[in-house]
Amino acid sequence: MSYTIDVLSQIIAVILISLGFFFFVVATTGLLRLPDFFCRAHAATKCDTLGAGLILSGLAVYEKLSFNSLKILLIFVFTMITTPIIGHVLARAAYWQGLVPWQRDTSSFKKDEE
Amino acid sequence: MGDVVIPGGDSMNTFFYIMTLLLIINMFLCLARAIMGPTLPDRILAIDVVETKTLIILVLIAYVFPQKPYLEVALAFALLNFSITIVVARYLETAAIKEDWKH
Repeated sequence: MSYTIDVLSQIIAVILISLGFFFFVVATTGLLRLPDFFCRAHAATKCDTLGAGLILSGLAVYEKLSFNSLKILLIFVFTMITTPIIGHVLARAAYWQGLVPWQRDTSSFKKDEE
Repeated sequence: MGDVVIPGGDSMNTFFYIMTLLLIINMFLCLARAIMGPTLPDRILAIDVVETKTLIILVLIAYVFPQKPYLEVALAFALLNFSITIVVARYLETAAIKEDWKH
């Protein structure tokens, strides 16, 4: 019985951690490829929150019920609260500092309409 | 067996080890944005992403080399990460640490 629970928790942990790593890769791609600070903040904050949350919950499942699992859940809750706050604060600071959001160049479309 | 566990001995250990290495590669790619970012908020955002990845690497290292005190290091690092980024963003917005908000 305990062997089955061990194998099940390991399988769930591997799936959750792989998903979390996928979201980290998405965050890095968005950070490197998107054109503007606001787009980059959009990609990086969301995918970072999701990736960190998935990896931490996977490790908590792997650890099962113990004191270490409680510590990991504490880190999980703190990350889930602080990462969106950091995204909001940075975007607010950049906006009030006078950073103009990127817009697609629509001059060629207007020429077609005329 | 003794207390010393070689990284990559167990199968789950191998998985955590590979994940840690891949996350370190990922982290250096994020650092590229911090180096070449055109504006200051870009750099701060990239450093914040690197800090989140460092936090996850610290938690994974607690399982690669099974030494559980790294979990408390990660907890302290999360608190430090949050306060650093908040203070730098506030300094960027108001150019003053102690005064009231201007907006």
